[in-house]
Amino acid sequence: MGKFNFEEVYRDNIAYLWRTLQRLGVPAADLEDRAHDVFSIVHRKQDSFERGRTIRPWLFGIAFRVASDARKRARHRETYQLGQEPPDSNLPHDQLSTQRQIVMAGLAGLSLEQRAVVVMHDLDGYTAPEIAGELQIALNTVYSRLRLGRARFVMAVRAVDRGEDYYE
Amino acid sequence: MNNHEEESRALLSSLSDLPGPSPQAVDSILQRTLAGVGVGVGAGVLAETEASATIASSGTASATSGHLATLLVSFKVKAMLAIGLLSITGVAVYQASQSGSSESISQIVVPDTTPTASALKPPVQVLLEEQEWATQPAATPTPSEKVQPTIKAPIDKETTSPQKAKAQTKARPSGSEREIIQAARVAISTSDSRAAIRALKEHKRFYSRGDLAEEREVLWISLLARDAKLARAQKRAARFHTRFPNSLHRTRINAEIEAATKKHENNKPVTDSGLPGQQ
Repeated sequence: MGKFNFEEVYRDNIAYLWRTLQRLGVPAADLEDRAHDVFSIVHRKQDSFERGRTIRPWLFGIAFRVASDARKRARHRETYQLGQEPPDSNLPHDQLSTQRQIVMAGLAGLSLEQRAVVVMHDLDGYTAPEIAGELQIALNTVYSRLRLGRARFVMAVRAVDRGEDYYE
Repeated sequence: MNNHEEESRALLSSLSDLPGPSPQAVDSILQRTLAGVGVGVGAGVLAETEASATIASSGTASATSGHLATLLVSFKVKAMLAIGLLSITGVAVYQASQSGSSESISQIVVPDTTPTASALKPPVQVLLEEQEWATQPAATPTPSEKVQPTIKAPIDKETTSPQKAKAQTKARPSGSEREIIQAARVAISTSDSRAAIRALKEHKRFYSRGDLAEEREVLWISLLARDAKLARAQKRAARFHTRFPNSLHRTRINAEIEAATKKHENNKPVTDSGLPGQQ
């Protein structure tokens, strides 16, 4: 038996995970499949989840790896390439405000690694050591990705705001 | 830097209330997850049956295709048995008519056509593999990977067409993004410009906006500078600075172009005035 009630954890966190996958750039058509992948892993690994640990950073780490694998597979099949799809293609247009579209366009230019660190730190509010632990990277790498990712993200958003394509 | 932090946080706050999943999606994902994992942990025959039924009825692409594959294979086995039975009966009837025997066709004893274990082995193995695959969770491994060995023959037949094979080889990169960039780096360091250009173009083609796009541009500039294509190197460098304003390679690029320019100046023929390049 697991150390938590799986269904309860699922109900409490599915909305958070869904948004996290969107922020990591998972296309809308794949959201359900990727969420299923994440919770299959959660179910399988629930025995190894340590009591007293916060669940959301753990979920984010799994979501990051699932999104990364999906991107690699998609790239291998050449169904799409990073950055070539419309930047806000992971959400239907009518559901996105203009501001959100601009922000998503800015995020689309970051590598997934930078994107994950920036979102975890600046949006979800995790600390750098927490991020390093969940993404299994060195603390200095977290700071480096955060610094470069932020700068790139902000510059891209400014460019998009001015109507330019920053990455062209 | 702090400005970036504040601005980044302010911008990202607009993503805090992104739309969540629909109630149907919530139920569907839970159902699929529980069904998949229930089979995976082997919670008994009953659980397996229930889970298989859930997978078949859940309408997911993977479960449906797995179910179809199982049906197809079982149909194949039945068809093979039927053909075997018919052929054996036909041979028996033909032999009876040839031997001129007085016994009627209805009296002919049809030989036992129960398939032996060895005769059934390949289709049964396929069937078992398909069933095992169909009852696995959709996440890992992917169905296409698992089914590959059993459908290898038709795929090979398709790829035997030289045009198709050529098209397939054309469409695939020679290695991962990192490997191609590494090949370009090695080629530049060994002054093999042709190989470097080939690798950089390949990277551009397959990983245009990849993680190492910045690195590719640096290598292009480096290559052009080393080959004394100074005007092009400077043009690319200007584009690079616009595209990657915070790049860590900025100093390196400037230094390389500067060094290449100096080298070019020194290599110019010495004139009467003693200054290089002046006529």
